[in-house]
Amino acid sequence: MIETREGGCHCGRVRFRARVDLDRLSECNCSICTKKGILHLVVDPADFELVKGKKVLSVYTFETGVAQHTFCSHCGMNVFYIPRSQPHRISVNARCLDGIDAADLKPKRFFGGRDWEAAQAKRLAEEHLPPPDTTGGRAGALTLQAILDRAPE
Amino acid sequence: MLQTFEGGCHCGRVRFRIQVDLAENLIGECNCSICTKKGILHLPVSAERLEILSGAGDLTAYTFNTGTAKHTFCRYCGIHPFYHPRTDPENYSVNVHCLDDYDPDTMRSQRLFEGKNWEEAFAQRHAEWAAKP
Repeated sequence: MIETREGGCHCGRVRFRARVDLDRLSECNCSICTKKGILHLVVDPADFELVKGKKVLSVYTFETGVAQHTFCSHCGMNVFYIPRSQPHRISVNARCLDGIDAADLKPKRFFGGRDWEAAQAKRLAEEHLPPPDTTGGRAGALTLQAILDRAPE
Repeated sequence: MLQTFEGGCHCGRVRFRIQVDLAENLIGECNCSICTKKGILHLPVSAERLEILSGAGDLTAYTFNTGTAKHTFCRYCGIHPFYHPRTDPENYSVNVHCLDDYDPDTMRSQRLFEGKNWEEAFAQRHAEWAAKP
């Protein structure tokens, strides 16, 4: 069921509003998702609004540099980020939604990011999608920039 | 049986080594406000059995409420490899997800700390410690 939810980091500096579908909750076993322990709700930019916190977000990138791993520089929460597999979209961390009990979060989908190329090929085949245009590897950075540009100061 | 594990954040700046007996140091989860967001899997480790190999200066510490817990994370990659918990602030809780040899099939949570109702949960945990021979 698609619903509008709000959420944020722990210290309250980063807040967002998004239209999410908890029935599409997913998890990933890649090197960074494992350490972050995040549960993904991937949404379109039109369904995501950064309500506050653009100036306190830190961004971490590695390897291809496509994914933009953002976190609150004050409390360290991984609230949302731009994933490498879908660099035109936003992955909201379901753990950071208001009023969530993690025991109720049951991922329905799994991305085997530990073997990233195979996982991406499998996902694209299942969803009948072409590979995303990475815009020379900059797609993730551009998506993040667009979110920041339209967020209030 | 005491085992040695190493682990770290994602960018590699923060590295640590611990010695634990997984039969005694039970892996657990907590449902308090911050553990829910962090998504960490806890492994209690005494201070003398955790060695920070690198990156101590790259850690940022976040505190809130009573200010007892020190929620440390790598300021470059935002990963929380270990922290000082409110329940036992002299010692550490290591995030099992950050161990190099983390195995999701064998390293599972064996107990839940009801941090959502912290005072009650702590009283119960304290009683368990007191009952130990």
